[in-house]
Amino acid sequence: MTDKKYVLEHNCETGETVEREFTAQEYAQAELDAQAFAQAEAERLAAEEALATLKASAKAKLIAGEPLTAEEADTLVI
Amino acid sequence: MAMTLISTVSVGSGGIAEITFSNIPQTYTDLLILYSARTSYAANSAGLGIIPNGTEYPNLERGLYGSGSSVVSTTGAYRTIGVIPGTNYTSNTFGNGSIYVPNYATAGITKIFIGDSVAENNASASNQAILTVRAANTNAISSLSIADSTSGANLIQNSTASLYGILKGSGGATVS
Amino acid sequence: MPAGVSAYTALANVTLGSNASTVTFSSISGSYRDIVLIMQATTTGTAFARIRFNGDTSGNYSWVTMEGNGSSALSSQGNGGNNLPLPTNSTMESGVNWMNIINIFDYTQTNKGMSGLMRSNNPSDRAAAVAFRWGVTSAITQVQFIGNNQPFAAGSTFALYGVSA
Repeated sequence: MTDKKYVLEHNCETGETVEREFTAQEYAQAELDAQAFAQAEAERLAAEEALATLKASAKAKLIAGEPLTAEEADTLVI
Repeated sequence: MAMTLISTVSVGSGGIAEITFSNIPQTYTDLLILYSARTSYAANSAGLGIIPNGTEYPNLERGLYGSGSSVVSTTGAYRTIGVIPGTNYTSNTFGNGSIYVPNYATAGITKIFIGDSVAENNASASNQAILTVRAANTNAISSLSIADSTSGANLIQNSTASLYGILKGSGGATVS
Repeated sequence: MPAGVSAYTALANVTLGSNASTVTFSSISGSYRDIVLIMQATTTGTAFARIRFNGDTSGNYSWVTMEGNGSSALSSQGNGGNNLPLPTNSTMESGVNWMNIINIFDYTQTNKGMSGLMRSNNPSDRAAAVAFRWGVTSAITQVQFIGNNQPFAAGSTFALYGVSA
């Protein structure tokens, strides 16, 4: 890892605040966090895109007077 | 005094990856963190993670997010307890949030964190979240750390966090 | 209230030494502007739980809830209830800790119904926010936590605080 990371640590007992580098474990966890969030974001964006596609399809079918699928109908808010 | 300010930390120039309150007095009942923060992550927003006792990363999160145009609920082995704005959001605008944990000093009780936050944007879209996180064990909490748990980017200068202790009263309830 | 004086006062608390069906804070002082209740409870089985003000069961409770259970974002409402329900899943596991923060505003006023905000959380089940109203123009002098079909387990904690203006 090229960028060093630091912790601003305030000791509530002494009132002192120090700046220290991440431990190896903290570096490893930060990497895991980033990977987990990236995956969750990808899933969320995919779900949003799928919903937008369904809504667009539902709207087009309504206008054209065509029957909607159950999934398309579920996107309607009444 | 039922609510006491224990300490306040303000991030200086250059930013910092993590803010830690260590050697937290064990003389209160509950803890409250109020924060105003922003990350240097190049995105709309990022998660703010909580870590008790330095390395005891929480293992269960559940939450509800709203963006102004969509809503989503999440769960997973995460430690995200809030959302903060990233560099894509309006400059000089910080997110705000609170983190509450009851019975932090009592070993043997599950430590549950409640987080309410907004990644403020001063625009038509921003991210808001209500979250709950469970600590990995039932140890008493002697330190708490917060950090950008999404990207590991720094909390920028002028981010602040204040730690409060809440002390319960005595007696006064009827049990049946 | 003069500057520099603490606005947050601890009024009462209990940690259950054994299972209990009801926890009651009564004769609540009218000296504050708002009250805050903190509850961290474990139930002995699948559970519904309720809050009741001044023992009232006459259909005066209404609420709006938003919640996330990890797979769905949900919103619901109730009107004319005999209690204020705490958001729970009927299949909530026993032994799982559940944490609520309940803020009740202007609880001593008699010229309006009471309103409040609640956050209800169980990392194994849901994160929820509730806005509620008790439509009775009486000061709140009693708050009851009621384990509707399962008692609260030993070790559960309940605390009451007053917030001064």
